[in-house]
Amino acid sequence: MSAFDDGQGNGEPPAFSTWKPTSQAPPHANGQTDQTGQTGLTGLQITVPADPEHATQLRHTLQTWLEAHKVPEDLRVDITLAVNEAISNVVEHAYRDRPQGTVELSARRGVDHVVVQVADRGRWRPPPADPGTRGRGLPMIHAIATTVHIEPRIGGTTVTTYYPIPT
Amino acid sequence: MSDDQRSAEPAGGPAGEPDVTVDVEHHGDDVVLHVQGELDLHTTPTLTGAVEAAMRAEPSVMVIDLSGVGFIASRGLEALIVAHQSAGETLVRVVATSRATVRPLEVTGLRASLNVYDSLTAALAADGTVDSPETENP
Repeated sequence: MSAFDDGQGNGEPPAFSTWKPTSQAPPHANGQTDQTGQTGLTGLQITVPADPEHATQLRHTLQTWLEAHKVPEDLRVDITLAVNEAISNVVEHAYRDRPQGTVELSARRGVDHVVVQVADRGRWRPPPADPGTRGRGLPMIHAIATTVHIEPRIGGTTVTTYYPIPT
Repeated sequence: MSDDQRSAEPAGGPAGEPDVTVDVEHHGDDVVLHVQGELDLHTTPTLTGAVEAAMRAEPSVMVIDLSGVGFIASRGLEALIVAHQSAGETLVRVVATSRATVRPLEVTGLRASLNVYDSLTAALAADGTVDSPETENP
């Protein structure tokens, strides 16, 4: 339970719709500055309770963001598929035997790529050896994203996926 | 299939879960489940329930029509697998027409094993005894 000791208070996940532009643009951001204006490229960062209903809302938020950032439709389908699986993993597995926690989605678009992170404050659960009809989420993520980086740490897990934008 | 008899039964979830609906259509001994919406963790139980209910009549063919589906997660794919595994004598076919449904079937390698057709017409016209996926519009 100490995984929740983040100063936010245990059991009080941030309310939905706390999305805000990320404030740290990478220095190599190819001319994009961190703008809050309607037309600027802004990062997406949003934290919701880790439950199925909010997972759906989170996916819709990501889809809207991808569209607003002119990510081509085929890639939007792919990113949405892969990221939804990462979010579902959190909802289903990260807080097993623990109080329900949160899932945080952040996304950033560069000129030629999109990077999406899905983070939780729970515990990474390796896929079982025999998942039965289940266990397709992680393979889907690996099949779609060009790079997948999974960081299981004591305080939570972050899954980072990278997608080049075809020119 | 000449005595098409349409008895659309909305099999959507309770109020407050409008994200997916399943309409059931009978074609003689066959049944078509028209799915509308998105199939994810939250909504897939609606499809699973509709499949179980329709299976009780032991149709010759069950077509799960995903033409109206804009998103399908691995949980939705699992529901299709379970439908196949629990089908008994019923032939289960899937109609996937858009990238949103075809792509997840492809990346999981399930397109070959789930009897996927690219139109409802092809799925209903397929020969009833030899279940031959990927043969469209003979």
